[in-house]
Amino acid sequence: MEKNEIIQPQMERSDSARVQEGRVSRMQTRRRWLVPAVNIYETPTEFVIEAEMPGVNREGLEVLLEGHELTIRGRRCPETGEGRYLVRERDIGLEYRRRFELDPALDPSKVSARLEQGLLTLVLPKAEAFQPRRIPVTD
Amino acid sequence: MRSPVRHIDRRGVRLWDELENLQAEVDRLLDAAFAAVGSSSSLLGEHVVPVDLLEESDRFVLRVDVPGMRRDDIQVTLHDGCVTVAGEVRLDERYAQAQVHRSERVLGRFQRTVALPAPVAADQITARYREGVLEVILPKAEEARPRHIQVQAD
Repeated sequence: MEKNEIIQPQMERSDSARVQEGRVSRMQTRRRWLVPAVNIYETPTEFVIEAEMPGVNREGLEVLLEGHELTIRGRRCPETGEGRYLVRERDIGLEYRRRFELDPALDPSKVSARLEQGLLTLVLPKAEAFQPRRIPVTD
Repeated sequence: MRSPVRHIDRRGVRLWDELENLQAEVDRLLDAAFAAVGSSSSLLGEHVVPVDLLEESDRFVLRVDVPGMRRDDIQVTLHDGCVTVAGEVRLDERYAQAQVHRSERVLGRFQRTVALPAPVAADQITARYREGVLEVILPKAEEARPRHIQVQAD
């Protein structure tokens, strides 16, 4: 695990059998959740978390903040179809879940979330004390 | 910035759970690594997106997980009984200048071709992009649809 991470993604269980490029990783043992892939980046004023949750709409999404722990959960819309699968590579799990531990430098009251085409974008502004400030120079 | 060292409350967390979590994380990292370099198409600067192909009695349904794209960046083509989905996952502009802490999303061009086992009616194909899932409906051609044959008695 990397050090110096301001936002620490926590590990969760998932029961997905991920098939990628014909390779099946055996993740189904006792794990109940799909783990969304995330990008985390930092600008001078904020942190941004992008989480991929295809198949999740606004009704199925939950963003929970408890103290400095942020949890995202997304329930996928069930897909209809009574046919047979000729190819089946997509995750079969129904729920995404991932937890992040937030640094105290982030202001939890100002977290905003946007879900667009299965991509959740969380913007976490830094507390003012941690934002860069221009100091006026006097003679 | 404050000290990055943090205390995680481990009460109630059993060793077995921790090992399982570790295994999950290693699996995920390996998946990401293989997805990034392990496929021949990656050598061409492309990555593989997961697809489902479902056959129903009168149509095929193709579903592809491609979250966070613009509709205009996705192309669907039918050629020689094969349906191809291609596109490009673009970087958020802010991302380019930001300090990156974690990068698990696969970005860039992708292309996927799936062979259909029966002819389809090319002019009736529809594609919809919703909640990050591309769904292509390919109705079977008339001659490929099941048909009830009346049994006649002499």
